[in-house]
Amino acid sequence: MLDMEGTSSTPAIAFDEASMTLSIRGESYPENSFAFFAPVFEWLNAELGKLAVFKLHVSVSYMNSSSTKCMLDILDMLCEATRGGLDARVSWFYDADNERALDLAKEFSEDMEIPFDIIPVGGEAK
Amino acid sequence: MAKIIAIGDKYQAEALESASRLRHALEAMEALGSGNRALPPRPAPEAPLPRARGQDGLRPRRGSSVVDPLIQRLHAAIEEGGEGRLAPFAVNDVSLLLRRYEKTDARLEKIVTISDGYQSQLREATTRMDYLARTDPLTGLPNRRDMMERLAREVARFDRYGTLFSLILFDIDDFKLVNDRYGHETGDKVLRNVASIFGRELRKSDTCARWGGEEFLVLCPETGTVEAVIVGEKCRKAIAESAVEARECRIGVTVSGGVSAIAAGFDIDALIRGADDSLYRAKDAGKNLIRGCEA
Repeated sequence: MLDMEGTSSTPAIAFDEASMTLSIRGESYPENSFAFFAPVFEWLNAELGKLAVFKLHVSVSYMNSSSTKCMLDILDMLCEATRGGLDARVSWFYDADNERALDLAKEFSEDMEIPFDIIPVGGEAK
Repeated sequence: MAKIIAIGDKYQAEALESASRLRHALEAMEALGSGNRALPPRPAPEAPLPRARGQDGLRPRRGSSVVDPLIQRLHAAIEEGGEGRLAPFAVNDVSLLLRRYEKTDARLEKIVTISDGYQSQLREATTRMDYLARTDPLTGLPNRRDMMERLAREVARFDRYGTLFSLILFDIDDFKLVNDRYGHETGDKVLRNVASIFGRELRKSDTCARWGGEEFLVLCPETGTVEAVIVGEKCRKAIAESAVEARECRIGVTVSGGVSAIAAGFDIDALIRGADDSLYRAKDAGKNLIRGCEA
């Protein structure tokens, strides 16, 4: 089971078995991102091979550089698992009022060979 | 944050330099064929890389977990230069390592780009927060906090250089009646209108802040009492002549204003008390008036 509670500087990370969804929400600027994300990598390494379907929901408004690296590494792992036959999909939620957030989402999705949905949340346009 | 970016930049510089060295080595090896009969001298170091922050630590560190042992041996060989040093390595090895470096380089560039994006986002948020913290949301004028900081600076300038300045404290006459009779929405409209008149009538060097509910405080740098009274009169007149439309009525208000000027031994409180006293005299004398400080 992966269920990490969020703090002001770390995102909440949890896997929901019913929907096969790993969600990462909050802000991510821990003092040691690599240590913080280690359990996530461990879990992905152990579990990803056993799954047929997998969804990743990301709703993170701010990441420091090392968290950015960890996030890209997680996406890499999913791409790798997809090549191995996993049916994986990424939903990246961003604040519709923040143009930069959309650019950042695109930057994350670029070159990732995996279905990647970029979904606006909130905003005055709606 | 900046430190992390700097470290990221340094790693990128390392990767770039390593990649460029490998590229040279590979070209040399390919030129000679895999036999490596004789190697040309190591190419002269290239111009400093734009991202590099310094020469220190640009080479991959020995024993570092991120450096492949094969890369270390290759590096040692390139460092030493001389003939035949690269003989033990196959062209394929070198191209493999070069590809790996290039991939690392691309990834680092991505991380730095993304981090720059987040950093700009933070900067913009900070700027916005700073603006909000200093601005009155209703009128868009500087708020009391912002004015206090400006006053502190002006007092310090006076203490050091003797630069004069004056304050005009304005209060809308009988504003409570507007609110009671026409509602707060109309009251807000009146406040915004008065604020915009100050924006129009004051000199560019003056600053008007929303000081309290219906109070406005104007800071006039390099201005004595007489001049400040003239400035205040101009605003008072413009406000008395204007009106806002609400509920099919034209609602006009007047303001009273009190002036005080900096003098030796005055602090901010004394200055504001002075302006407040002048304002009371203006109100006592019948409102819609500007009064200077008592001699």
